Amino acid sequence: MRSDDEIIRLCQQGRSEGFALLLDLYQNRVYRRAYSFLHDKEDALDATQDVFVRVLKAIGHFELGNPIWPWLRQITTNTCLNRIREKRSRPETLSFDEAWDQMDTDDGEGNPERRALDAWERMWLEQALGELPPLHRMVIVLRHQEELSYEEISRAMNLPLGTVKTYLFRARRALREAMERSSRTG
Amino acid sequence: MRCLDDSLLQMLVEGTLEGPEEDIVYAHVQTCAACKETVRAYKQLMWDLEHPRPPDVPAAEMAELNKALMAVWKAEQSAQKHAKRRSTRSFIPSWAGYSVQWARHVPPVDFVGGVITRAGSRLLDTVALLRRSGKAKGGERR
Ligand SMILES: [Zn+2]
Repeated sequence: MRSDDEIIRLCQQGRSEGFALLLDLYQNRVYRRAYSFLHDKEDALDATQDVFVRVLKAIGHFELGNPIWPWLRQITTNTCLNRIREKRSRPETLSFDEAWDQMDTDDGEGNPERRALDAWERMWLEQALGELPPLHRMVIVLRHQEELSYEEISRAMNLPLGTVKTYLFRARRALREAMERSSRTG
Repeated sequence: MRCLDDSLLQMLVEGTLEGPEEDIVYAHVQTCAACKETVRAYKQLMWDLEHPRPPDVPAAEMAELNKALMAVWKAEQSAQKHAKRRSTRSFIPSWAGYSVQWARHVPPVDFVGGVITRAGSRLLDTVALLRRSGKAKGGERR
């Protein structure tokens, strides 16, 4: 597999194979991250497109020796932030009640020691993540999937540190309460 | 005993409390069934969040997008080649072209966005069009 530096160098030489390699390695990853931010397939596809158009414009300025992912992640974060701001008024996704209606009610057996979620709980968590305010969800993803510190999130999202903490604590509390509802219902 | 703020319990689980604060929170949790249960729930939640089921990648759309992006890349490269040919005719000595400082600069995203709004909007439209035509083939959602 090519290193980040080799890929960047090829791109900076204007070689198409370099950009093809970049897409091979990172297109899915950017899509998944955009999806976890936006929780909408079409939005995530549009965001992925925007990210890579920005990338191909800016890659000439990328400094060799740096890993690509943090840079792509930042562009993805900003692109998704812009989309969230543009779409503030959009109605929310399915409610829990609708999700309940769509669920087959064949619950797995309850093993209290398991660590991995069963399908029901996973769906409930996804649903709860989808219902978070988008900026709260973004903080959660950056904290728990990208493992950024509070300070790094504050920089990445251009939000005051106190706001990041507020969003994070509120979001996790909402998720915990949603999971408690799921265990009462499920 | 009075129960602790929910955010302190979260920070205990996360390991972001320090020294005496951590000791105090930990001591309370040891003696309080309600907080112990909340801590257990946060442990599970944070574990779940750190082990997400990756979202499905829509393969057909992503392949279309890949093709479109490669087309944009090629268009962009040939545009830059033309621009370079023009600029070599002007009398800029090579040492004055790009300072090392600039070449080493990782662009902040604001800067990236600026580049796009000026020069990239037409290309963006092209990609969007390509994607929409790809979508039409696959059948419309919503
Ligand atoms: Zn307590």
